[in-house]
Amino acid sequence: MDIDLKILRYDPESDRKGHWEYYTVEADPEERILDLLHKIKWFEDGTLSFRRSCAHGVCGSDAMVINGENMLACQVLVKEVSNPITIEPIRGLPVVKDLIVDMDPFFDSYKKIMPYLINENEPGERERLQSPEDRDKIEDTTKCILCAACTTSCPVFWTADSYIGPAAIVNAHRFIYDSRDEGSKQRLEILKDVNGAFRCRTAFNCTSACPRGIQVTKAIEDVKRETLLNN
Amino acid sequence: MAYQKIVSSGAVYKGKTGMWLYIFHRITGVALFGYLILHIISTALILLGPEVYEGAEAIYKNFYFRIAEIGLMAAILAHAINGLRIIAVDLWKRGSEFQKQLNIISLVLFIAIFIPSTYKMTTSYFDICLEKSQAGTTLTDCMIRPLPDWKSK
Amino acid sequence: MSTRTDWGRREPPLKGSNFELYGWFFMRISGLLLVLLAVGHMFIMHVFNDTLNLDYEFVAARWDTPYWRIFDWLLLTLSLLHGTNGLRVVLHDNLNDLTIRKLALSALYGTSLIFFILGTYVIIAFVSQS
Repeated sequence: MDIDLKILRYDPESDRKGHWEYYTVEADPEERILDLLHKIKWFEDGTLSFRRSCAHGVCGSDAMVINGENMLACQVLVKEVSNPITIEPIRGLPVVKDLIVDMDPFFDSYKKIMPYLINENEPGERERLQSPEDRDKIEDTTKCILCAACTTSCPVFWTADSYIGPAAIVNAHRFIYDSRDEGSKQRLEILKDVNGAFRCRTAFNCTSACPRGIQVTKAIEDVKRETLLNN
Repeated sequence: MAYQKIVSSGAVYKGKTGMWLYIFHRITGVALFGYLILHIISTALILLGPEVYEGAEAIYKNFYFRIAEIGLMAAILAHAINGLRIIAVDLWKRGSEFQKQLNIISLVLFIAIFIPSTYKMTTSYFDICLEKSQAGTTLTDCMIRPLPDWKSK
Repeated sequence: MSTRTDWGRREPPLKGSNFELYGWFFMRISGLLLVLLAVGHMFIMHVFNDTLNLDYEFVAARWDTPYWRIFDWLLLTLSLLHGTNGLRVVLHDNLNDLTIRKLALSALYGTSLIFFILGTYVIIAFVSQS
């Protein structure tokens, strides 16, 4: 079947604004959106730029706005979206070219919450042990692949890019509720900031955008209540 | 490098109900703040005596302002019910799990209060209008004409 | 084996301000109270009574009891604080230029303060003329 694609293109060397370009490619309903982009890039228009790496929904490189919603191009099949397909870069981050955005602000926010285990004590003879019950507390938030689909679906982040964003809070949650970690207090202090968790307005866009099915808004709410109760 | 903050696409992000409720809550919130300021001014006129106060109140006594009043009632009611929904999502431990159900409950609650209130505000307007007007006044007259000033009589 | 204390790069412990936390919590608590006060006020004035019957004597009779004055003053204070904090967040979200934001916030706080003083004065100073 023929699939019509409408892609938002932007070339920093010649464009002042983004513009739509239209493509038609032959595709199987079982093919992924990423396959369509490959067909365009390899056989029709080599100037189309987009990020992808593993192409199997694990590396988190190819988050984009597909038919108005954040998705991973490698995870969505042609039959799952309506034809014609509209593709835009994720919102709220500076566009470098076409579907490639500058992820630096996103990773700066990620670094702010200290995304590593903090424990001053000696681990002992073996690794630090954790009970299955304690592991379950962070099961959901360890699934994050840092694709930025949640952060760039957040209406607060679009208008105020100083907001730390759902992804950073999810990753803070992953360590705050980790029984082996001792840096929770510091992370909660960071998330108390004017640009932290309390800017979340519970729009739930992040939860529906997450390609890993993480309950993002729930994680943010946990952090808010934790700050309120243990302040 | 020539970065561009947001490449304008004109397309609307297909957010979930929560996104539209967030936008709705902001718009009604800002509008209600503006109304609050006007309301303080119009109430403050009471210090200047009955004539000034009732002169200002007379502006509101026609059918167009009755429709606006119903809009005001809807805005306050919706902002309040949506606010309760937000409180439930934020402070109830399992609020975010049941957010879809909470959306539906809020809508049902809004309609259940909005419809009878609108009915009462509309019928009460016509009842008072017909009662205070001369015989022969029709409902259409009540809609297009300001109410007769029955106090001065 | 000696004890290592340098695992992970650690930021110095921050002492974050509690302002946003309290602001967030205040919005919820004042919101709950305003559901009683503002929605109650609106229903009393617009639904159970009709604003067509609203006149000087009505307000004078109402403010004859101190309870209604306290009710109205609480409503004034809480709705102004709730609205000001709400607009503060809206301005913070939508104005990225720091100078413009500062100006807008000052204008907002100034307006709220003026109307708080005006409203409080009206509620306290009102004496019925009839």
